Amino acid sequence: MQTTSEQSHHGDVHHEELGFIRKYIFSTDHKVIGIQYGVTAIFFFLFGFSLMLLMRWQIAYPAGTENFKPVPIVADLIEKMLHAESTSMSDGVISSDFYNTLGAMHGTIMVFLAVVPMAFGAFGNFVVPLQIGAVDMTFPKINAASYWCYFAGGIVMVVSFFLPGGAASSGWTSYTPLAVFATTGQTFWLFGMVLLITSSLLGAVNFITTIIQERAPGLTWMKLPFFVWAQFVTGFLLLLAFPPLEAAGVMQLMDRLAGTSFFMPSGLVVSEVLQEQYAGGSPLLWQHLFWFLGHPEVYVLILPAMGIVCEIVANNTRKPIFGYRSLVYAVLSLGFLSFIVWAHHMYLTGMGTVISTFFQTTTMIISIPSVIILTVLFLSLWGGSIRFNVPMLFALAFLPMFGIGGLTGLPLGLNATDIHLHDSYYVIAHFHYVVAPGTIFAMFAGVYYWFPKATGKKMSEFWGHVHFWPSLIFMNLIFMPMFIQGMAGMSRRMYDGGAFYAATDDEIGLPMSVIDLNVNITHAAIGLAIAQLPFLYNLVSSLFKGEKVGRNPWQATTLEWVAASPPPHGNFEGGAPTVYRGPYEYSVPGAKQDFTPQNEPDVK
Amino acid sequence: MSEDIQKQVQKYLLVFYALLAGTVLTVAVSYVDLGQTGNIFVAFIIASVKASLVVLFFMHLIHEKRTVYMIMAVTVFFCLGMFLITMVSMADVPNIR
Amino acid sequence: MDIPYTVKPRPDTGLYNAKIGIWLFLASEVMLFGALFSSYIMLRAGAEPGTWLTNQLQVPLGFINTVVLIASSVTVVYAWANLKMGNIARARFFLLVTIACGLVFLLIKSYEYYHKFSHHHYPSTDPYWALYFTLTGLHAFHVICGMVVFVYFWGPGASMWKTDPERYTNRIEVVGLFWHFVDLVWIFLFPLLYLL
Repeated sequence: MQTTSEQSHHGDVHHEELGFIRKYIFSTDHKVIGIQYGVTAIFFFLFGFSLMLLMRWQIAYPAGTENFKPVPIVADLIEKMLHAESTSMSDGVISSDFYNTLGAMHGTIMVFLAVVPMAFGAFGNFVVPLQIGAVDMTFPKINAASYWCYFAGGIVMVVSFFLPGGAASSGWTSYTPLAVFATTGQTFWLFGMVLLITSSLLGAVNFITTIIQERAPGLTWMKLPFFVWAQFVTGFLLLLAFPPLEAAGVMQLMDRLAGTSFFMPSGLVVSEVLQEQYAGGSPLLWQHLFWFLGHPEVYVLILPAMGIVCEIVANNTRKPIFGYRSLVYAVLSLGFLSFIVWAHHMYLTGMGTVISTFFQTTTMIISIPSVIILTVLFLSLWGGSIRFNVPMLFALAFLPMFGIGGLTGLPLGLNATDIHLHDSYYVIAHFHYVVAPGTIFAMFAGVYYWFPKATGKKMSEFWGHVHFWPSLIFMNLIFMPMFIQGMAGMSRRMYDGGAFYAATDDEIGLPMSVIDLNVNITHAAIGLAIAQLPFLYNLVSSLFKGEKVGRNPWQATTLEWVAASPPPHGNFEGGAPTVYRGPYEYSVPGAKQDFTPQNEPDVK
Repeated sequence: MSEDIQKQVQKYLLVFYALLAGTVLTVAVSYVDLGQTGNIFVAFIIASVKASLVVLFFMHLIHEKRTVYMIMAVTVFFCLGMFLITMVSMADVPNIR
Repeated sequence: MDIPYTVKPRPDTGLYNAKIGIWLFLASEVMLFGALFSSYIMLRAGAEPGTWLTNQLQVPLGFINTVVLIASSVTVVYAWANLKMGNIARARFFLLVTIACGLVFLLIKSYEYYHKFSHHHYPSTDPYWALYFTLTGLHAFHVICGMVVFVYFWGPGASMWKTDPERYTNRIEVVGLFWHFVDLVWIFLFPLLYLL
């Protein structure tokens, strides 16, 4: 008798007995892993952002001009930490090599270490199993491995800053032959990327399997919340687009370490010396393989954001999404088409008319599903009694911001206009509108929206507003002027922010009015940095003294709100809920309240 | 159940012989001069047939479920897309000289 | 808290979890090797006419390796079929044969590498050699990974047969799928590198 009671006792508390390390550090629970992803990604967001602030300072107050001002506050620290003067800073002057490093690493960190882990790793991990009514991801250990690969990749990237010669400096695209001649930082970049790619692959396999296999009873494909659909397609993009970059990464490693010439052409001359050891390679090959990943990657950045916005818009307009099926088909065709548009990044490589016509056509076609999604979301606002809470504010801001970003991409997709705009600040403005006030605002919306589920506490509305309004204004003050600069012909990646090409009395060049915008943009960027402080304060303080909430603080319909806040290990106390209806049944006529959860049976 | 398996095992042996024959054939054909394109084409056909045998029988794709078919169809489509488009873009370079 | 469908297939998809997982993984492997093959095509098509190296390797060795790999594929399915019939002893024997085949393959491969190095053919020598060493190196890496997994399931992993035979059988099927894929890649590599 005694043994039986002991055994049952043992069984009951089995999951509570995990030590702190097993429970919070090397956890296999999808919720903990999601939060780990989120916290790490927020760190990298801030890290990538501060690299950008250094660049902006250099662009606004470039050394060697009358505008020069030394980097304030952090100059000493950076000089002491990164030892080689030539590759970092001295006397508050950012060296040109260090500027290149900042640019390359800002891009790499923001794309691969911040936005993707946040959108796919954090939100996907935390929300998807809950929304489909699963107990966990299908392969919990692989899930943990995926996080730790990401973590290791992040460490490799950060450590590379301390190498002699600094971190990678050949742009986030690592074009060859430049990248093959770069310092050791590039080798670290490649190793870091291999780890990050492995992490994404493990994650993608896990997500797709989970969505196929672990859906709750009754949750058929057309009853899935749109966010799950978005993550499903994202999973396929990561699964199929990343391996070619992995192959390319291996080949670039061979070029750097074994002296092969995969990407190194014959007759290459560097600093007036013929590089005879290289022959027969193709720099274009790298570009093809890189952009075969690169373009689907853009949709990896944006699809989860669209999913989050869709959830929040439906919830806060209190009405069903307009055209759920068209959303699903649009996201599927987006995923499909994103694999056959990649060479629109390569119009300047001298491609022929046939292939460029093909890519212009597919690029124009892919704008259709994007517009469908945006239109569906806009139309969903029509006639709703909108609740303007903080998640909704960010979601609403996403719509026009993504609209601007998307529509300004059309001229870049057409060969004739792209030849003028390519590699100018116009491009920077375009994709930042998509990713910064677009995706990142959706990430903020998601954090405010699901924070109560993760912690059982609500984030402060007041500090949310203090965060939202300045962020919105500063984002636009940063990126809107860049369109003007780009159209005036200012190239990206210039160390002096275009001062060298300034117009003089007898020479045509960039007007001073355009160059002077650099200073305004830098001020706005600093403003944006300050505007994130209320968010960080809100995040931490709400954890301790936020308003306590129940299971369903937003009166939402999807399954994650059926679980407790925060959900226990295993998510749903009484086993997986059964699903009877679609994801967005708000304000159903005749229903007793204005939302009908997916697990509520039909009333006879 | 186990009789089914017995049949399967016999089938595996047949596939093995077919693969061996394919390997011999591909080596033999390579000594016949069909022109460079011809040789590449024939070798590619033989390799594809052998690969299909492995996929269909050893990997049981012939009995597999719809989900697997869909995953592999998407993959093969994109893989062929990658081949074709890079090949066309190699061929379609404006002659500046 | 148990994750459903780890052993039994989910009724509407007809598949257990790991099988979807491995097929998805193989999908990504198809793209990985696809990218390498497409690099081969681009580099070969872009080479100056007549400069691409051919007939550099010993065809008999490549032929033997092809046969060895195909044979190992057969032994894997035999191992799986024997597990299905409940014969763990024979299954483990066939796993052992598979591991031995992998070992023979790697030995022949390393002899070939040694032979090439001693003739001063390095990856840096020429785009052909770069592709040869990268492709076969990556393939050999896959062979090694597969062998490690087989050794585990032949040795310590086999104890699962006593507690959960169905799951153990599934595991052999899954690693078998990976092994067949490695075989399949070689089927394309052999003519590409040895014969054309």
